[in-house]
Amino acid sequence: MTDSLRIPHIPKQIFILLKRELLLEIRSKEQITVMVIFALTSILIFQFSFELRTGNVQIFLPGILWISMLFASSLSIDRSMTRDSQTGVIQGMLFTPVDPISIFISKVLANTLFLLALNLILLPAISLLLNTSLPNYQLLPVIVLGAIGLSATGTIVSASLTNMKSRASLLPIILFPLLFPVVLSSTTASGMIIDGYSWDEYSKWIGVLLSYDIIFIVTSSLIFSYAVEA
Amino acid sequence: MSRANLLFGFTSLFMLLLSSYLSLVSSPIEKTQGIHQKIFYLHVPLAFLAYLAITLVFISSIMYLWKRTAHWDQVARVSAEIGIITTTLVLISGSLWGRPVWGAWWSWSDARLVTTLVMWLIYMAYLMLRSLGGFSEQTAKLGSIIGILGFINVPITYFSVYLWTFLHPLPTLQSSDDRPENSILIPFLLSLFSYILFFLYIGYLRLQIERASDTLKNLKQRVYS
Repeated sequence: MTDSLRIPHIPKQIFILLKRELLLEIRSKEQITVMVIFALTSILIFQFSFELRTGNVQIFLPGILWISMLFASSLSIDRSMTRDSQTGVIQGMLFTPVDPISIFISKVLANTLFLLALNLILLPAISLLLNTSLPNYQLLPVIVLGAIGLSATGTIVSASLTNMKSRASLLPIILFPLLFPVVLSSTTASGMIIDGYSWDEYSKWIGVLLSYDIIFIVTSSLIFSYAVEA
Repeated sequence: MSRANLLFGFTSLFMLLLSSYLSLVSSPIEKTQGIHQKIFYLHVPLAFLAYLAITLVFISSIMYLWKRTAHWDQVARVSAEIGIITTTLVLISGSLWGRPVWGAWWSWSDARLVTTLVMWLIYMAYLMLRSLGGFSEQTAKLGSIIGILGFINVPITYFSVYLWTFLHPLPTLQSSDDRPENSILIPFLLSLFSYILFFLYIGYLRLQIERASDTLKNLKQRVYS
């Protein structure tokens, strides 16, 4: 254990592994495509399930944004974990001197970046399709912290589930209750920003998101090696 | 079943009956809430046990990942089962109490209620995982991971719902700060003690069953392989 905890090497390892994740995604464009199509489909569904009843779908904007992000992220993260475990990449990496913490952090960073990329398409699409304008730059801290929370929890849960037979049904029922604080805080904060509240009023939600992210990343980094070991 | 086991069982059952009589029948009827306050003697000990059970799941999950002995995994499984039973009863008794006192079966603005529901969902998922995953070290390890993540999630959930209630204030009856009288406190403490004793007994029995069943499964695996 002392041998694997070579802290100075971790940033370099994370950088190399992150480059690998991004390169794979640039070549296959698999995760982003799945997320974008999925998110656009959910906008369509939300539009017709809420507009018909309320006549005003805009009050559901924060909910639409975060439900799309939640489902899209769980699909995409699971894809990235299964790809790596089916091809034996994770097991292979564990044989090298790479610290499991680096594998975890690089996955979280990569998935966060993909979620942010999704937002580059999702936010304009919501504005355009639902005829509204979103204060994009003010939403940025909420989206970044929310995306980190979704990725960290998604990565540790789907990493532990990779070899399970009933993975498809277990993933959402384990992941979604764990993500409850993230969804509640991000939706509330986004709603307050859209409604024009000041930073002082919504910053406490940023605080909740930040503490969730820190607590989950630290705990998950510590137990990630148990999740992926054979 | 050994004699000590029987004695433990009878004592816990007797204590449960005695405390039920003292709290439900002989204790005075409270002034503001009337007869409905009697649920308190059942609800609070169960809630205490529910949180105790998930703490035990957390501790034994860490111990399992550290020591890798089947014992800690069995303790985690049994605690999770007790946690689910008590949490379910807490939710039901809380609803029954809320209806006459708050005027609603459920209130989304109460952090304790929502946290308990989220907790219930997480530990249901934990038990689903244990039953779908089958008998393997992989499932035990995965269970430990969920046991740890589920536990650290509880205070964050509580805090986020607590913050949320400032935005959506709904009438809730917060208990005033006055200390309960002895006529309420003593039956309550006795009730708490007997529920702990009773669930300790059930947990102890359940642990013996789990142990026997694990031994059987190990034998079967050895015979078939």
